[in-house]
This record gives sequence, C-alpha cells and structure tokens, in this order.
Amino acid sequence: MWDTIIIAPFINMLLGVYHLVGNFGVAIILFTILTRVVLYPLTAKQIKGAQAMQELQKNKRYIEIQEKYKGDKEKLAQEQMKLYQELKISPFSSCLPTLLQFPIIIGLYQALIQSIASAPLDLLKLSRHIYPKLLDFSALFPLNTKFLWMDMGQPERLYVFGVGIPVLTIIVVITTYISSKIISPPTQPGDGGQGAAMTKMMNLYMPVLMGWLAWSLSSGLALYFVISNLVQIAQYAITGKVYWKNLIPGMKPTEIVKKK
Amino acid sequence: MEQSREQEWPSGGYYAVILITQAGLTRYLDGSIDKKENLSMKKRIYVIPLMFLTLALLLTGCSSATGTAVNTWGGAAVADSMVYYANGTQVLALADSGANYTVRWTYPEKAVASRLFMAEPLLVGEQLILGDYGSNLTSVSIRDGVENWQFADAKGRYIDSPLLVGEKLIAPNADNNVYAVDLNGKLIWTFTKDGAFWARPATDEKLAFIPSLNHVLYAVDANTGKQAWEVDLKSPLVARPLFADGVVYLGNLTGNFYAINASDGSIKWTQKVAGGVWAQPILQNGNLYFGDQTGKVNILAVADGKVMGAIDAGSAVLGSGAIVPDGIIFGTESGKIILFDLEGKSKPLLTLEAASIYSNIVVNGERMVIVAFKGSKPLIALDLNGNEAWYYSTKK
Repeated sequence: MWDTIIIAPFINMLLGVYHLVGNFGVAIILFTILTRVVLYPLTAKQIKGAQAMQELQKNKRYIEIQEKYKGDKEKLAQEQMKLYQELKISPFSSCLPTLLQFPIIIGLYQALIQSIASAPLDLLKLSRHIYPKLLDFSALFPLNTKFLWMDMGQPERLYVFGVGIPVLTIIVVITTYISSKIISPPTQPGDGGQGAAMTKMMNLYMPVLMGWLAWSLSSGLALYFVISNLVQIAQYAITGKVYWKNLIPGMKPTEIVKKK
Repeated sequence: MEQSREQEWPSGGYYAVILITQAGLTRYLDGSIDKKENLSMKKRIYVIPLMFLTLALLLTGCSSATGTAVNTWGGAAVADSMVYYANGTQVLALADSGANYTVRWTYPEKAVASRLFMAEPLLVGEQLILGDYGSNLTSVSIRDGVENWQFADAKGRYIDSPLLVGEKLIAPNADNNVYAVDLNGKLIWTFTKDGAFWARPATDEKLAFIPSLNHVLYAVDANTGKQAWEVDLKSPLVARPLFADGVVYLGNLTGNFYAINASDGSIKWTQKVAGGVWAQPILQNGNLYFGDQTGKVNILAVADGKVMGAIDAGSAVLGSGAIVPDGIIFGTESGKIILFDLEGKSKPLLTLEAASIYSNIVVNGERMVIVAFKGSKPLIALDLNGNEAWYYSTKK
C-alpha cells in the first residue's frame, strides 16, 4: 500500500526527471525543488503557525497568564486555550502541515535509496516499482550517479593531495545552521533564560546531526539535504520573517530587535 | 538472512524520527509546549544532547561504509559437516552434528556496523574467503576463524563471492573494478569498467567471464586481466554465468537468456523467458534449469535454447537451485522449497512462514541448507526430503 501510493510514484517521478536530464545528481536537485515547491502551501501554513506562536510569546496577556497561574497547571492550560480561541491561534497549526509532509519526505528518502539500488534487494524493489509503460528499466539502470566529483551512491569526499575533504558535509552543516538560525526569533530583552539556551542548543545540534548523516550516508542524500535547506531558506525569505542578523556574530539581541 | 537492524526499522523511519524530533523541538522552542513541560533546565540540557546522540547512532550505525542503509540477503557454504553462514553482521562457523549444531567461531568476534557480510562465503582449502560491504576481502582460517589476510584496496561492496581460478581469486566489486588477488591477498591485476560488478564470474580456466550491471559480459584473461572480448546483453547482469562445453550461459534482468560462444563472444542463441534472471542456471541432462522474477522455473534445451518447460513456482525464484538425486530444489520468494524432477513436475517440500528465499540453495551430501530472508528461521538445515534437522537464529 505504502509502496504503491508513495514510493512507486516518487521513484517514477525521480527517474522520469533523470530520464530527461541523464544525471542523477541533477535529477535529485530538480526533484527536490519540485517537491518543495509542491509542498509550499503546507510549508507556508507551518511557517505562519510557528510565527503566530512566536508572536504570542510577546503578548501581554499571555505573559500575565503565565505569571498568574504559575503554580496551577490546569488553570494555566484553560486560560491559554481561551486566549488561543480569542486570538484564533491553533497551537498545532504549525504541527499539522509538518505531519502531512512526513509521508512525502519519507517517500522521497526511500525513492532516493531505492533508485541508487546499491544492494540486490533494493534493485529487486526498484525493478518492481518502475512503471514499464512509462520507463524502460534496462535503459535507465545502472544510473549515471556521477555528479561533479561525487558518486551519488557513495559518501562524498573530495580528495586533495590524498586527503578526503567532506565538502558536501560542510555545506550541509552550514546550510542547516543558517536555516535554523535565521528562523529563530531574536532574543527579547529579559528572555535570556530557558528559551534562549534551547534555541542556542538546537542551532548547534541540528547542523551536527545533519552533518553526521551527510558524512556517513550517500552523497545523494546529502545533496538532498543541501537543496532542501536552500529551498527552505528561500521559502522563509519569501514570507519576510527571516532574521538574517542572527547570523552576525556579536550582534546584541536588543540591537536586532531595535533594527527589525 | 539474519535480520540486520535496518530491517527492524522501515528505511526512512530514521529520517522520520529526525523530522519528528525536529518538529517537536521546534514546537518546544516556539513555546506551544514550552510551559507545560515540567523538566528542569538542567535535565533538558542533558536530555537533548543524549537524544541527538542516540539518533545519530541509530541512523549511521545501521549503514554500511558505502553509504546507504543495507537491506538484502546473506548466503552460506557447506563442507565437511560445517556450515559457514554470512548472516549480515557476522560470519558463523556452525558444526553440524546431524540433529543440532554448535557455533565453532564467529568472524569478526564482535559485529562491526560498517562491515556487513552478505556475500556467500567461498571455501578454498583451509581458507574461507569473505567479501563484505565495507569493501574488504578477507581470508580466515576455517579452523578457528582467525584472519589470514585482508585485501582492502576496493572502495565498494562485495555483493557476491569471488571466483577461484588456479591460485587466483577473481573478485567482482561494486566500485566498477574486478580485483584478482593471489591466495595471500596480494593484488595481481585490476579490471576496470564503467559499471558495477556484482555477480561471481564463470571461467574456462583461461578466461573469466564477468557480468556487469552496465549490461555487458566481459571475457578477461584470468592471468593478465586483459580483455579478450565483450558482448552487450542489453540489460543489467546480476546473475552468475555458467560455463559448459565452450559456451557461457547467462540471463539478464529483462528476462533474456543467452548462450554465448566463449571463444569470441558471439551469441549462439537467445531465448526470452517471463521475468528477470537473478541466478546461475543448472545444467542437467541436456537442459538448463533456472528461475525468474515472475516465479517460473524455466527449462531450456542447452543445444538451441528451445523451451522445454516453464513451471509456475508461485512466486519469484531468484536464487540458484541445487541438484539432488530426485531432481532440482528451488526456493521461492514466498518461502516455499520445491523439488522439481527433471521433467519439470513439482513437489512442495516445505514452506518457511513469513520468509523469502532469495539465496542459492546449498546441498552437500545428505544435507541441504537454506538461508531465508526474514522469518523466524534465518538459516535452516534439512535433509533432502525437506525434513528439518535444526535451524539457527540469534533470537533462539
């Protein structure tokens, strides 16, 4: 069921793009952009929901409620719900689009893995997932997985004087850092505690994790991470709610807020 | 095959975990669950790095060095009451006592995530040759599993075991190279083409007939590694070829089966069968027997490729069969073990529940060994009538 509805169409779309361009790296780039663009309405909703929640943190009544019902969790929850209803904010409005994206993104991941077909079972599945009326398996496979200096089926290293430099991993780390940093709202004066520390941690862990994955897994997936990050940055930029100044080291939070 | 960790998680599940974690933390940061949580700041600071570390280990510990999550089947070899079983994470030497087994040794002693053993082990005298997905070709002693040598020049996976020609091992690798090494692991020659090599070649003792995923069958001088001829067979070649009486027999993934003259690579005859061919044919009584991806066991006349029969096995037959006194035994994707007599009449012997049989069936004397993919019995030892003697499982 999952294979028929999600994986097979994705594989055929990805390989269809490959059939047109003849290079798996280029196909991954185009396909990632395509899927991100198609998913944009969901992404936009997610961004909007997240921003509404961020705005709420500054709301006077919200802050008051937090203070007033500090010791009474039940009452706090009730009051928060009331406020959500009044302001027409759904606390899960940014969660739902993300959840809806999961099957698509997981499908994309599996389509990439299966298309690379680096083990017999993957090849068996791939041969079964290709629509024979649409694509000719024999003509497509093996894929041309060479892209620039990389093999899309192997972890990426650029060898300079015998030393393997993980260029794509570095790019994944940088783009993940940028994409998470620019969407984090500037720290408010007096908000130097929990929230700020958590944001800081997230901005560090996420790039490290994604970098580790890019370093260990095939470069096709690393390329997908990079393009995904870039498209995400662009999509956030389109909404006009990115905090570019977060990237400038030493910029005081208050300054950012003032300049905003 | 023993189920590796990848099979217990759906591939992509890892990425889902990341996304869910990412979404959860984002929600946490944007405040929607922030104040409801009761964890102290200190706890959070420890919990989150731990969570990320676990995720990273889960995600990358299950991948081979060549990059993608591994999800495929293993293989076995049998000799002198010993079963050598590549179960994915390790190779085990199991002493077969008839009704039971004992584990003599395992290689490596502790499993290493980057070295997955899927290729059928090859016995060469006192050596057991093991190719792994971490790009190593290793010789271990069959007595104690102690490493004799390791050839580590390759950069890709060893999907199948090497071919022995005289004192040389000719090892196909997914890095687009075929490596010839001596029995001390010293490189003799390398044959490079623009396509991965998965299947064990065949030989006439002078030439090695090497199939490639790039659709081409290459004939290469076994001593020098120089190409004698090549023939384009129009579809990926994942099956081992068979050499007999000056002819190489081989099927491709679109179901074309070829007889090729070994002297010059000219095609003697071709025959179309129902589905893709994944395994070496068996030559018996003037006929070739092999399964295909649609679940047919095909019988072709070796002289001219005439179809003598195509018997439905019920589901895909990917592994090679094994000759027994009453006929040939094949395993199927739905876990059935079926005996075909030489006229093609079938007799089901056994069904392994919730398992698929993709690997070659191994027979030695009165012992038959089946490696199953999934199911509760990843390695099962039977007599030739299909009666179970014992099975091996780590979950036992």
